[in-house]
Amino acid sequence: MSDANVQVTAAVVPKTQKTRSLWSDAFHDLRKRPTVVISALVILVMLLIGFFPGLFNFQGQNPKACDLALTRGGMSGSHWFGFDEFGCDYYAQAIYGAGPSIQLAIIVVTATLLIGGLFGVLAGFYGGWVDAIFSRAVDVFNSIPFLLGAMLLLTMFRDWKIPGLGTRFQAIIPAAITLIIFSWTGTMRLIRASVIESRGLDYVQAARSLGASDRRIMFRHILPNAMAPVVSLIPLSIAGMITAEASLSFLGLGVRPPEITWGMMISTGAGYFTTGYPRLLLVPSAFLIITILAFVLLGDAIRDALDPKLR
Amino acid sequence: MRSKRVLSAVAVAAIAGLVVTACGSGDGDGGSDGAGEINLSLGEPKSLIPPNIGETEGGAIARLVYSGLYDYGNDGSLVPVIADGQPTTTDNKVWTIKLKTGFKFQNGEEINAELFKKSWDFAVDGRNANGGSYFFSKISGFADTQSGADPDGEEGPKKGADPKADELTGVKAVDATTLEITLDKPWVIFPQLLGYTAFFPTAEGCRTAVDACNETPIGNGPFKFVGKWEHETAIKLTRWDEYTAEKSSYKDLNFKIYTGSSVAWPDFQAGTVDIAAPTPDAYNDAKSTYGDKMIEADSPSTWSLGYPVYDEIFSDVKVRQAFSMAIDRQAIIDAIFQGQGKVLDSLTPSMIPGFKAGTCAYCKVDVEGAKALLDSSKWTKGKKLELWTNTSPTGEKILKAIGDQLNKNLGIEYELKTLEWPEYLQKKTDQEITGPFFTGWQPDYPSIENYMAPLYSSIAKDGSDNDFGFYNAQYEALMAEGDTAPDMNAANAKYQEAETILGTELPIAPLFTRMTSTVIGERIDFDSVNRNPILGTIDFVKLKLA
Amino acid sequence: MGRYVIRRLLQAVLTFGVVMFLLHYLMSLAIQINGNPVRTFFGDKPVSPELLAATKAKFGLDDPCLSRVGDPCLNLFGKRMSDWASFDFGTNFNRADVSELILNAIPKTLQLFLIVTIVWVLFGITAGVLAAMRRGRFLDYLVRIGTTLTIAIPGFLLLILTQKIIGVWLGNWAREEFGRDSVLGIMFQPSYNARYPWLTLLVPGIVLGIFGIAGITRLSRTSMLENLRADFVRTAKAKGLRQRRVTIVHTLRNSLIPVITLIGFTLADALGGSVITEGIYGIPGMGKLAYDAVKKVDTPVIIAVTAILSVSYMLVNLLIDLLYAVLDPRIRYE
Repeated sequence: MSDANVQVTAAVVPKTQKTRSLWSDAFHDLRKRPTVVISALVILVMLLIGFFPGLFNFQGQNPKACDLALTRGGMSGSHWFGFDEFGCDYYAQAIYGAGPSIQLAIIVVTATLLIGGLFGVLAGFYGGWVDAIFSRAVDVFNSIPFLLGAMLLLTMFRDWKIPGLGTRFQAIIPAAITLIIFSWTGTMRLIRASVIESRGLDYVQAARSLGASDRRIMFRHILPNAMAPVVSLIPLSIAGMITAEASLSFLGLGVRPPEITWGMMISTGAGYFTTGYPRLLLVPSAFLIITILAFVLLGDAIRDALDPKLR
Repeated sequence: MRSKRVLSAVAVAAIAGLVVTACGSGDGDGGSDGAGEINLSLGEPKSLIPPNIGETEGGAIARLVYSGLYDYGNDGSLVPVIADGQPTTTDNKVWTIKLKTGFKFQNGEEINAELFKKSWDFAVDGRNANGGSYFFSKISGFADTQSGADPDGEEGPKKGADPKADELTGVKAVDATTLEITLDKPWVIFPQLLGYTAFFPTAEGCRTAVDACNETPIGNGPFKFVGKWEHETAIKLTRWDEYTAEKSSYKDLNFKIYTGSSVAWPDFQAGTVDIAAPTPDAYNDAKSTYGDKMIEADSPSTWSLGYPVYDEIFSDVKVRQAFSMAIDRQAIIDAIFQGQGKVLDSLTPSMIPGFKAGTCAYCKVDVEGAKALLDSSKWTKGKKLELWTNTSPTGEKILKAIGDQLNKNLGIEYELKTLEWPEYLQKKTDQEITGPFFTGWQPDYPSIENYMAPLYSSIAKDGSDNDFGFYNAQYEALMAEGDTAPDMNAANAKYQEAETILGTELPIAPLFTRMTSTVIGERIDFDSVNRNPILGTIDFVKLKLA
Repeated sequence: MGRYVIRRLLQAVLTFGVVMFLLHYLMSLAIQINGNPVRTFFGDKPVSPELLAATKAKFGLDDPCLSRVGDPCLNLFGKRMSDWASFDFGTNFNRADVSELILNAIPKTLQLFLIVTIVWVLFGITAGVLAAMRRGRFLDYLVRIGTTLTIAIPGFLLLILTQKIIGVWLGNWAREEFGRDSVLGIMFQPSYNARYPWLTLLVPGIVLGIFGIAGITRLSRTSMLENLRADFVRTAKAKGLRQRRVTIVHTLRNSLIPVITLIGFTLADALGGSVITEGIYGIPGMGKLAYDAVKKVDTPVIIAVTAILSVSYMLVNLLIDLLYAVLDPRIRYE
């Protein structure tokens, strides 16, 4: 292949014969490392907080029962993190703020994998004009700067309603779609590169000579192997999506009120940092950083473990 | 003055925060020898052509580079500048204004009555699409100067039919120093409009090359432009020594333009800017640090919760009154704006001529009374309330606070609906809003009539032509009597009666006015700072370096 | 090689055309769904239909296609493209010339990114290389922890924190200690100061650089590690060449190839991503220009800025691919 992109973007392609032992090797290796275990635990906790916030709302305060009279109140026994400027319990807000970000990240990463994966396999396998179309599409999407495109899309679809979805998803969908639109190109390129590399391998030729259809070869043989480099990037992608959502929320574009996210809390808390209430910025920042850090550490560890070159 | 949008904290901060820094040499050049430099902060103006100016930024520059017939005094009275004395009339319909001689433009053109007539013809001409043209709408002959209605059909944009007349027939230049204005109907308030930027004169050289004049205005005021308008970056002015009225004591005046979310306050904290308005979050901090150098003043802009009177439920006045009584306005001011605001108990703020306190009968918080009223009203229990605003941070915050209070006090669940500004404005006009909505008003001219007529008056008897769907026959009658009253006092008395009706019928629940706080830095002589409460800005011309 | 370049250029033109049309469609859709932005000029004041129509015409937004959701508004697109062909990029809502606005904004963004690139090269590559050379030792772990932290802390958070901590607190201290006009006093500002562009860009530039440095450091390290074990290095060592010469002459040069690629891509990417930095620090560059324009739905500016960003992205892409061919003799295009 003379395609320069292959050289740059192809991360790691584990040798087919060693796949199974590579995975279990990696698992055994990771199990023993303390950073991995701690990160995995933190992620588990955050996922639980995200999907079952009620469990963690130990003090039973309703984040939406806000009393202006209590504005910016301090920390106390029954209100661990005090109150924000509207008099809403800050601890409850931080707990409920986890859900939208995390759910959004998972939805986006899953969708990106599916879409990017499908396109990548098609482009890599068929080559020719199919590949050309996808590559041009990638160019088009990449040359529109993320924030500009996101702002345009999100200001348009602020109030988009899909009938039948709960309010929680309503609030997430516009941001999710925007992030998917701007991230599928990365996954697609990665998988395409992988597919191109494995296209010429012996076992593929063998399957073809045995009469296997295109679809069978693509999805039964190539895809599982092409997915390996991408799988190790999943936690890192989730971390990236959480960051992206926080950035969008900070600009007032992300998840819509009345859903709360850490990004929104940071946005309002920032102004108070040097003017007497640093807590309002520090609490959501801490939650955000810890969550992202956990995903990053785990992602790093998995990627290193699956990389045969570093063995 | 017109509102740029429902005022965001940034706009308020940027406008009320006039920054003064003596730059360069670092030690104050004496004001007495006429030298010295002052640096101020500003938002980006929309236009610098006087009849097209509709927001405070453009207005601030226009009042430095241009001067008009009148200016507004601190109490809202007309102060003659180019005019000689107050406008005179015998029937409140035909007004005569005498002009002083000796004023000219920075390009040499002489200012006389004929030039004013030509400026105003230019201002109203529909083809020029000047945003301030509606100020002339009560002058006879105005309708003929407007373009025909928009005939755009399926084939594509067509220009509206050209105006029938290319001059405003109600304005006559009787001689070089006398202007005569004829209104459609007698209107005693008319002179109050004359201090507004729409009435400023424009030079012939400006009107024939409008775009160039927008970049480098050909002014007639105490300052003139240095170079061009550096969009989104800076505007540099310097004293025009040939100005025949009051000039500044310092030479150069530079504006740094802050756009979007950047504000001048951090620069103030860092010391590059000596006067600025603290951001709402920084207010408490600023007060304790700069206390005695801070000027806090009422702003003439009001914020209110509008009601969709056309809606089934909100057509019941008890619902409107109950909601208004359930809102604790002071608490919102304390929590969201750090106390920088004043509760409204009338429909107009206190500095406006004609103000009467307490015209709003339901603006005091009374939770029990509100509950009782709500129970006996059309409001259905368990209905979810929709609160509407545009996507400004201020609007969203205020409405969330209100929603929380209605939740706490009346047990009503609410949902915040935010729309992009153009869509929001359009939905308001189309009366498609289904719940209370955030609305504000910035006065065009100092009169309480301006806070009512443009908003709540209506020609149609079902109120379908104002945003609120509000119509009240008695109110209309009183406003008409005020318009045709023989003098200002009689007019204001009638307007106040009309306002009292509004205060009971509540097409809106008045909320509060913002207070602006401006901190004066060390480089400025604090005593030279004169803030005009009507215009809401400091008089820059009168500033002196310390 | 020539045919390759021509083919790439043609592809670039095609992509550009598609991007322009897509953007135009998006903007038209935004106006159709959210309402005509001209309406906001009048705020809460009542405006007569005639004045509204005349103002729409003044800003070229009076085409009836703009009130039909989904209409691709081909007329407007054609008009804009033909205007561009004669180098008329239109004016924004404040009647400022778009090309002037852009020409004023580009230098500030470029200055910012010059600092960022220097940070990447100076700190990123150096750290990565050193970490590779001292693999497993303290420095390596330090670098790895450092890069992990920079990924974990979102960029905007870092920017806010530095603005407050360095710009306000540290800066006020510096100005009290050393005076207002001292170098430190000027450097630690919470916002950009046009009188001292380079000094006040230093802090945001460094922060922005830190924010993106992880990828470059890690790639440098990985790349260096790969090459350190490569055969030709062992050969060189066996030949008896000194350690440093081996490192610099042989390993580094080969390691840099993918790194330069990454820098190129990240730079092209980041041009659009400077929005947050410029917004927080008030730097009047391309990012801020675009951000303010999107808030106001000021179409001519948005499309012009995106056009420039998209063209630079494609140019950078092309350059990197060509550079690759030059640097790595194993690559040949036909």
